[in-house]
Amino acid sequence: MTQWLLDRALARLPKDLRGRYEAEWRADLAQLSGLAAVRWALGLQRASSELRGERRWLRLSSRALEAVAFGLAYWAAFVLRFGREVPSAYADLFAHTLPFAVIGGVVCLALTRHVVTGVALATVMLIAYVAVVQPVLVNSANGLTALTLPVGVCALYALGAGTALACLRYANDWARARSTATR
Amino acid sequence: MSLQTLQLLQVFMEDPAEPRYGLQLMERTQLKSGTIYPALHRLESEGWLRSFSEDVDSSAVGRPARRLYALTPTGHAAAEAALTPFRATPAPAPAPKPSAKARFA
Repeated sequence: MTQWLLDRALARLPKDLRGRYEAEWRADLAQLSGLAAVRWALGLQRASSELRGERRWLRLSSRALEAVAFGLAYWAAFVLRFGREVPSAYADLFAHTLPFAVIGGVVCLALTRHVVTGVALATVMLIAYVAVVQPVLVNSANGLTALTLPVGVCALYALGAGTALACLRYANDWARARSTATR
Repeated sequence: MSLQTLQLLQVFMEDPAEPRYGLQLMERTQLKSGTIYPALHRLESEGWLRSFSEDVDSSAVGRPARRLYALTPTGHAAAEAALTPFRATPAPAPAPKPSAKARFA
């Protein structure tokens, strides 16, 4: 019973904390027996929830930063492609597709857990979204046609988001390594 | 600062140089395991405590090496500041009850 509770508490911890707490908790458990051990192991369920909850908050702030990176990269892609004066049709396209570029980007990154793959998938999804949903229609020689994302915008979005996210990951790893080293 | 954190710091301040482990702190403070470990983790994250593995031969002592916690200089100063108000003013001694003789005099 105690062993099962201990394993359950350890399994709920974030991976980077698991090894450390496994050693600590097994050493403490070696001193306990009977009902005291069960009570102690029951308490670990709450301890692991709290330790995991703290990480969940960190993950949320990390997702928020990723969303900002995707949004800025998308905005920068339009500005770099068209200059300060973005044509009104493309400005509409930007406004209509920005939420998808941000949310889709964060979701793709969370699914793939890899910057390059995540950004590539997000870009493909964005192109597909614009092609299927056709958020902005323009008058052309052939009548009303759907406005598609320019290749330059797609390339700049992927490049900008990839660079920003790689920098974020690097900064995050550096901060974590520094915090571990100072302990 | 929570009461639990103060209790933990008080135990550390009894002998600031002595490292302590989770179960020992639980017994001293009467706090539960669900409270102790997250509290120690928070204090460590804030740089008040540092933790390290006990330097023992597990097979010789017959148990796994413990995780020990010790106050950092920052933690020592912060704990001193946090606990000072509770040490400075000792509770006033209760007034002596008037004796029966004095009451009926």
